[in-house]
Amino acid sequence: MGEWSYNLYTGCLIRSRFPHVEKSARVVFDRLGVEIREIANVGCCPEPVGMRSLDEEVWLTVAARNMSVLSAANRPVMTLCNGCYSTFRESEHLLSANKEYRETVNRHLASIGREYAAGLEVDHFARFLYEKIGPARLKELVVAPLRGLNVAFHAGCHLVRPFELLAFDDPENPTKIEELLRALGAEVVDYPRKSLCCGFTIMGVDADLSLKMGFEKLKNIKASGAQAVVVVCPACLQQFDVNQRQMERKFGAKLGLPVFYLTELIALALGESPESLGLDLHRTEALSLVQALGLTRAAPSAGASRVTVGLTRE
Amino acid sequence: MKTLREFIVDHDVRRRAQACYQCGVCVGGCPVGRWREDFNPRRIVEMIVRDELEELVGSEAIWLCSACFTCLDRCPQKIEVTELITHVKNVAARLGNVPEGELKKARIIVKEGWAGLPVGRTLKQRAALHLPELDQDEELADLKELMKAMKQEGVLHRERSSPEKEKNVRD
Repeated sequence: MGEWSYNLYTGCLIRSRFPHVEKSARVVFDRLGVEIREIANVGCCPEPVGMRSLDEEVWLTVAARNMSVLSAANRPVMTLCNGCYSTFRESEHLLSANKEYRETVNRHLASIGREYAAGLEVDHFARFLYEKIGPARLKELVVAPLRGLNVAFHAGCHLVRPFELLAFDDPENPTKIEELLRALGAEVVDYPRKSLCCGFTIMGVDADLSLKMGFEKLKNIKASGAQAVVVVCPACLQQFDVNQRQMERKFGAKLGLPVFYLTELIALALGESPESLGLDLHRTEALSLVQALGLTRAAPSAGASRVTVGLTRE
Repeated sequence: MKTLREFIVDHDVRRRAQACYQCGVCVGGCPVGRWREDFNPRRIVEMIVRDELEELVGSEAIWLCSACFTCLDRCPQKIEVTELITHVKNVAARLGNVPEGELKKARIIVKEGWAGLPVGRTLKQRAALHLPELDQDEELADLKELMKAMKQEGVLHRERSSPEKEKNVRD
């Protein structure tokens, strides 16, 4: 067992729609010597925008139940999703700061014999990779540098906002994860209105506007000369990757921008093959771009292709 | 069920909005306000301060907030605009002003414990990628019990808003 040991909290979207994201994350943790433990009896975080907007009391109570279940393992939690991260951090903040909220939540939780457990440590995988691993260490591990790949990074709101609570990166111009991307050998391009929301959260309220917000971002990214977008949140992935064709049709313009999860690019640079990562599961041409740039050419060097994925039975 | 006034008092909503001097920085940074003039965080805070609550909780535009927290991050007075709008939406939902799409999504969470369940195709993809098998019958029994226990207070289980309850909230 290494230095790091986490309970993995994949969240609904990745669990139900993006197995390739989970795969790449597990590969990266394995390569970095991060021990990953499975969790049971926890469901949705719950979702931090719609659910909270409808009934904050229910949202807070379900979040507190999850924290109660997860606290029993005595191990920090690793989230793969900005939304889950937001719910964990926001609910913990509200509950620790407000006695009335605690009492209300505990009154509900008493009906199932639970109570709010303070102090559960929750990390977002991208933040973990920057703060605990860091660009320098990552660079040393790269065997297949992402040479010739120009990417634009989209942080997604809830990795960096609200700053007062999360205190991670500058929300107006987040650059920390870009350092990781450069460590992999990729070029990072800047683009206008970088900090704007992807629009995913209002899909259920106004789908046209949601698509317009996503389209505007991708248009700005495309114009900046990036060949691909990098995200760290499954909601942003859904919006940019899955919904991209719909945006193209609706606004009559070709975008053709592959979208990667940060962990996919790290896994590739660490020598994992695109096939074993399931890059073909993207709706955008992620796999084609990787192949066209020959990004895997250094992969078969000694030992690098021998992969043992954590917790699979291979 | 709390009345609208009680809710506002309980959450200290008006006091938290009072410090606003209407500079409009929140509007300038709003990713939704860029496209929709009817969604205006500055105006929403103003309506809270001026006690124009009934108009506010009846408005469709409040649901357009994407909860990105840009307004809070940029506000010189550190007003929690996103949270205030969340409280307003909570009241609006109880009054029956809630987009059907939002209600549908939340009901899946209430029923399944998850916002979505993996379909057969995803399970096959997971197997092909050698991901751990998912226990689709995972317990979550006490979560479902908890959801039932909260039934009386929430809006999530109600099929339609009843006029009687609406009256209660408005009083």
